[in-house]
Amino acid sequence: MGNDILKMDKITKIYGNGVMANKDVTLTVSKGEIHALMGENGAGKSTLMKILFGIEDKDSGSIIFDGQSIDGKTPAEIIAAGIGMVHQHFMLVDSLKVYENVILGMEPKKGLAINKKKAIQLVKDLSKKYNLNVNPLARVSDLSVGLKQKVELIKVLARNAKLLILDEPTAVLTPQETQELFEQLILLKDNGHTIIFISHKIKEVKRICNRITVLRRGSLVGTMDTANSTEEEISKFMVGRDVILKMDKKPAIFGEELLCVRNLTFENQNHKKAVNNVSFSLKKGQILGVAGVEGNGQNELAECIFGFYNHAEGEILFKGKNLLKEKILDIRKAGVSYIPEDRISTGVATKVSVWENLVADRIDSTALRTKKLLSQDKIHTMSKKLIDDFLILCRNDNQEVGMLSGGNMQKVVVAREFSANPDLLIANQPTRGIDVGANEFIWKKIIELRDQGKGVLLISADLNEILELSDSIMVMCDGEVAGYFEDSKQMSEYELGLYMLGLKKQGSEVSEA
Amino acid sequence: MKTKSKLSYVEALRTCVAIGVSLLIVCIIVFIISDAPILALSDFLFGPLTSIRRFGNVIEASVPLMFTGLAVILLQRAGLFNLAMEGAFFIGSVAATAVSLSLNLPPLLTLTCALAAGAVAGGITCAIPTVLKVKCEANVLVTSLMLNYICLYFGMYVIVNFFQDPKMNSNYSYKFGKGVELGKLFSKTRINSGILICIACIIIVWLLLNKTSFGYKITMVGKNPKMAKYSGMNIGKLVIGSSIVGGMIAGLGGAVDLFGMYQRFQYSGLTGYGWDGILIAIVARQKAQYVPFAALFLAYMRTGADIMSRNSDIPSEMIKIIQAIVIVLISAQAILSGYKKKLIVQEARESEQGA
Repeated sequence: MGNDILKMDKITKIYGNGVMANKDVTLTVSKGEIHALMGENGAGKSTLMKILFGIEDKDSGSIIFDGQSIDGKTPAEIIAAGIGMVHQHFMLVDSLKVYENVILGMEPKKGLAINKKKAIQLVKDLSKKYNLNVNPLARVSDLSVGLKQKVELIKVLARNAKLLILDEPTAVLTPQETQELFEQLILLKDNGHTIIFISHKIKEVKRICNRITVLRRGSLVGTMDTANSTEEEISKFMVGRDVILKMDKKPAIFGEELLCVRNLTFENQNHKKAVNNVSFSLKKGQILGVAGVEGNGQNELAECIFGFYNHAEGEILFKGKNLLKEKILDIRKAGVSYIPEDRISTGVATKVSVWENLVADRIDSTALRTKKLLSQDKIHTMSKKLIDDFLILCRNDNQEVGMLSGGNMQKVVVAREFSANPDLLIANQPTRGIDVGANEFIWKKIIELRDQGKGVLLISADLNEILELSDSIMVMCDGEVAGYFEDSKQMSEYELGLYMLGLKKQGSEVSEA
Repeated sequence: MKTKSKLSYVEALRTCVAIGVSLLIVCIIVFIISDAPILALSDFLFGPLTSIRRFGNVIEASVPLMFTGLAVILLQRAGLFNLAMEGAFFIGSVAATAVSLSLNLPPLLTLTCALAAGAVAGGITCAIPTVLKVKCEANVLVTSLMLNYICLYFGMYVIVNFFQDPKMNSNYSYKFGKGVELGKLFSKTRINSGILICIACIIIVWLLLNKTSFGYKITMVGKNPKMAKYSGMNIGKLVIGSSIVGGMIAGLGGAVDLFGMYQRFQYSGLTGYGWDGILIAIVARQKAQYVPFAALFLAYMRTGADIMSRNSDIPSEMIKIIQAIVIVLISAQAILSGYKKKLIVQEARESEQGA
């Protein structure tokens, strides 16, 4: 390969909160390769890319792109130099059409007006050349996630990017869409483009990448050829120890019915039925996985059950009692715990300490008091025990939660919700964006809970997680139950994908199971 | 561990730097406009210490500031920018006047009822904007600011129409009954038993914020309302609760100021103590235990400025400028941010080596 298109040399970055996000990281990318950048979340991948893109300043190090130093350039100059980025969260204007999004900021002019014809032609040409089939006149808000990603790619290509950075592009895609994306990426590579592919999914990386650079805790672990490394080796590099990506669990012993949801319907602010006539039941000792492409009502389903909204309709029978329209406090008291989808906005308060976050749901408990007043001793004893039990890495329990890594922040949430000793746990994306070590830990805890005869409603966009943990699986598509499978072992990722995309659907009577 | 303690000093250091810089600016201004700058400055800096009476002035002046400082801490703890403490302080003194002049009870009982009435009136006042926010999504900043004018004119209406002493030329009320006052504690000063009520309030607020689940909950609501809701807290009740308690302290402060310093109601407008409370809360870093220091600092500055303006050619308006400078500097997060970052980086590297 020889000729390097990009060389980032000894990059160091320390954030204002004291997190050393990158430490002497060196990344060399050869022309015309697909180079994977891997690492647990919080390993420093995103920071490194932000530095490359000029969004973050670095504290030391140098960057050479295409033979020229790009130190200290602005993002606009870097785009002009030929680097393009497809962000994990798309940067598109939903209300505009596809071609309008593509030309935003680089409009071809005809006098003072935008040359619409030329713009549309540009999009058409690029679509054709790279096999990215999108209708230039479609409105972005009407597109699926997969198509939006294609628009992002076209946008980057329209700016003549030689080097494309894709930040976890498959996180939001179905297996089928992922397959399509991979074919497009290989086509791009064949056309002489270089791609940096950020991911922590080892299987995907093995499939399409030439080389892998692994970061761990901000430092470079090493760069290796994909062909010469096994999945186990890569995984070992990422976490620094052997991790079983498979989960061993005892066969499930279902008990009596714990939760029964009947005809649950919830209309969101846009008057869309985000949850549409959903019925299912969950037994003691059962992990029910809810699969689905994100945004198909899984989050709203969880929030309805946990009392976030007061205008949902239907029935949520928990141990025979209807929880619909109950207050969150009463739902918690009834024995339900919830790990919310977004830990930073909902799961924790980042500006306050670990202990304050750990006691949030039990501050009224008499166990934390001496003579009616809060006892710091008792609170700290409890929080220290939780920190030990749940292996939360922090300086001490007075540290601000915002200073912790994603995985440890999530462990704070998990510690609080599990230690409430719930009969039903709703885990909404419990391991999103956290390192493999924390991931494995949380999985183990969830299975422990099941083995104690508790019920778990597991919502995840990660099919691997659904398949590894769930005893039964329910697929949601467009707010409805698209399929229910009593035995998860009979399902494959591929088949679940068909239900997730709405290509297959069971009759509603099946989902009553 | 060494840098960690250094880090916690940065906040305190920043306050000191802000105060130091503002004093420096004062010196420069004094040197420019005064014919006898050294004398004026020494009056300003050391004047309050030259006699017991003057030092008494500092203490007296700090009492209302402590009340409103505490009120602001409570009001803002829950994350709302409720500025009704100004009106609450005023209406508290009006309510206390009304009750003390209407009741015909033994003096101590009258006084107790009047103080209680001040607290209740203040609590209701501060609750109004918050209730409007919770029930109707009304902007607290706007409603509370407007409410202050309502308080002022409603209060004046009550005093002028029902309690005005016709023998006085101004809008003064009748004199309070004999014994309806907060007694002096020390001769030569006007320091009165109001300061004991004030200290009690500081202790109560400290306990409330640090030792009760109510204090914990309003803090969490202020830091992340979404998380507080998800944890099972009733946000509406909590923010209204914190407004009521904050308002009660402001209202009580108005009543204490009235019975400690005056023999009749004689405010002619809003006192400004509510606004000062914001400054106190900032300087005290939102902590009840630091309120006395912040209030004493401001009171000391005011007393010094007062002495300076009487003895020299510097106008007392100067102190308003100094106050403004202090507010700006203290609220400027960027002061010492370079130093803070350096400490953080140092700490990060150390813990890296430790690991």
